[in-house]
Amino acid sequence: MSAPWLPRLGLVGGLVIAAPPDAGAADPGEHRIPGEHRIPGEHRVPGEHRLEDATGATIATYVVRPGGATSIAVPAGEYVDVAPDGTRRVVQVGADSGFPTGATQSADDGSDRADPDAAPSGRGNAPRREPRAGVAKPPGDPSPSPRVRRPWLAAMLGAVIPGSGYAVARMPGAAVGTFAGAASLGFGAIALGLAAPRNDGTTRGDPGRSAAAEAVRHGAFIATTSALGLLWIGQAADAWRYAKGKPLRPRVDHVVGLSVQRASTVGLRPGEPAMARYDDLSVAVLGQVTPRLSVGVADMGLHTRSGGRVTLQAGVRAAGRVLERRRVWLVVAGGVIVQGTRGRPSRASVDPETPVPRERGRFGATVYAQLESRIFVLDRLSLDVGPRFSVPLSTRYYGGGAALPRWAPTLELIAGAQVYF
Amino acid sequence: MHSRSSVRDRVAPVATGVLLATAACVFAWRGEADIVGDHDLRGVQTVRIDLPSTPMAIETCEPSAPGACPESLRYAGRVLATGGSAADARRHARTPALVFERRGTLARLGVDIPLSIRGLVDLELGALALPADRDLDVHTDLGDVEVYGSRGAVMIAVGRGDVLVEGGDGGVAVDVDVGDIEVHGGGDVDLATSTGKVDVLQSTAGRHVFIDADGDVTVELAASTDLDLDVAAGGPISVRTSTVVALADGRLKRRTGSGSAQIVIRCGGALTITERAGQ
Repeated sequence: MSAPWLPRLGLVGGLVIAAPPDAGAADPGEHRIPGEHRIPGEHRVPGEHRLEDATGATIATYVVRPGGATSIAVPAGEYVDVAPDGTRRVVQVGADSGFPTGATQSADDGSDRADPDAAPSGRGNAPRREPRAGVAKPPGDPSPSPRVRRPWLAAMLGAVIPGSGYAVARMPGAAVGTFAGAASLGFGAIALGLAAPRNDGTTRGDPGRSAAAEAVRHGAFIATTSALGLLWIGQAADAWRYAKGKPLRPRVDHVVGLSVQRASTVGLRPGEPAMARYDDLSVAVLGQVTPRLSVGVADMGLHTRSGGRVTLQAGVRAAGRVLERRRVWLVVAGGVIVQGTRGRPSRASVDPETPVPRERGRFGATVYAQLESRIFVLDRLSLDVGPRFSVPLSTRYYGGGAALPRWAPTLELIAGAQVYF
Repeated sequence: MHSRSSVRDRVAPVATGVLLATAACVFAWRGEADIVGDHDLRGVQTVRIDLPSTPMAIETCEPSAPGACPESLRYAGRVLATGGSAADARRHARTPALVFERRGTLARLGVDIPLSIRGLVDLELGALALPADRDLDVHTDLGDVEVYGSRGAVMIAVGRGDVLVEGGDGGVAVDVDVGDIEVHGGGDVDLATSTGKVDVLQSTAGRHVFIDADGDVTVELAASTDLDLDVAAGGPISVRTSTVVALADGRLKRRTGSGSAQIVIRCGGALTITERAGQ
């Protein structure tokens, strides 16, 4: 690295104190470090220091060791450094908090485990409490971070029983809440599924349940099952992150995003029952061609029905991030789905020697635009949810024999997960 | 004055919420077209009706009265359809065609639905009528099937829907995935339903009864003098006939007289076997 401030780095009692060329003159009691980090020069007392934010919460602890290089990476703002002897010093940190750490020191906020990504407090000029501040551990220091709670065990257990990952991460409140939420959604989905009228549409002249009631039931089923799926994935990943003590930094510089997405809607069907649910489960692979813009193959899926109809689909999609706020992105996307469908004739011939002519395959397309909210649960994993507006340019086929007619404007609810590489 | 980004920050979540609230709906039209048919059944013994999804009520007439019972298969109904426009919906409804074919003594009623509108149309037949002495073979995915007065053999396969057969002297075979079965007749019966109950009312003695049902089963026998009884039920078994009176759990096997009439029943619910009063 050829940063001009490198020659000004000084080891002061093990804590890296660096000052840009003009810092020393500005305040003789402080040394300015790159990116306008300013740490008081008096902080040379060996031992464990605490760094508090403007609200008094401890956001980091670090150990100053004679001869060891350490550094601190914290967001811009005003902090109070508390030395082992109780001395409190105000520290101003500038906008650039990306001060690279060297090699040493353990880090732990010790106080804010439940909310490492808390939003700015809004009080005065209190610093934004970004992902917990980190202080590097000295080389060879075998002591584990106190936050480590077997992260893979947390993830695996969370994947099996929602909430159990949080229990491993020693977050009982989140564990109970997540389990209760997942159980409620699961039982709700089962109840909604069982509430389907067994013989709706089977009796001539019987209109069955009202279309409105069926539409509400289908819509609620879509909402509960989608929410359950997202919760299941999200809580397992989140438990892993908490157990590992890992800050969350969405990968804006990813190259490829791989997503699994469910697009669902409720709409008219011919005859009775009058309403049907239309589900489309698909996979997408999008490459980030420029910052914020991704393009790739999407909506890859397969729809079958027992009668022999098979539909293969894929499409192209362009997606652009229009908003990035910490762990939430808003993405506008548009694309086209192309379907190829083959099917057997709808009837058999009574005479095997003169079979019914084969049905010709069909191609069709559906155009759409969608607005995705991507909520990151890991640096490389987001949960995506949002509306999609689509218009089939020809009959759009779904699984189970369902289909939507061409030119039927369709609003779909999309929900899924995306992994970034 | 709000900055551009702060306005965007506020508008975007609100817009997302509004769109989510209105998400998951399709705007489409419905269309409808009538269908009628009359097909000659002279020389035909078995009629197979193979329609994708429709309730059917099949009525029969006595062929010994030819003036009142034409030797033909007659039906009327309608096709329901959806479309992206009203004109499209009507066009879809008019597209399917019912096809009647015959080969020797076998005739078949099916429907041609082009791939382009599959999933967009639904049949709803009214009553079908044919002479009572023809055998029937009925298949449909969804819909109640009712057969009245048949003297031939009746075979019915239904995905979801209830089945009622009155008649079927030549024997009744019914296979239902989800639905109840009710048979009143004098022939042998072979009935199966994966989810549903079964009621049998026998009008002729000495007929075989084979039943496999998920739910309750009730059988009223015409006579009980020559039975080979082998029944198993998930619920209580109750047999009250002139020759056998028994209460059992699980399984019951009995034989009366020559045992010429097999009664083999497997059910998940309660099983009740009685004998018609006066026998």
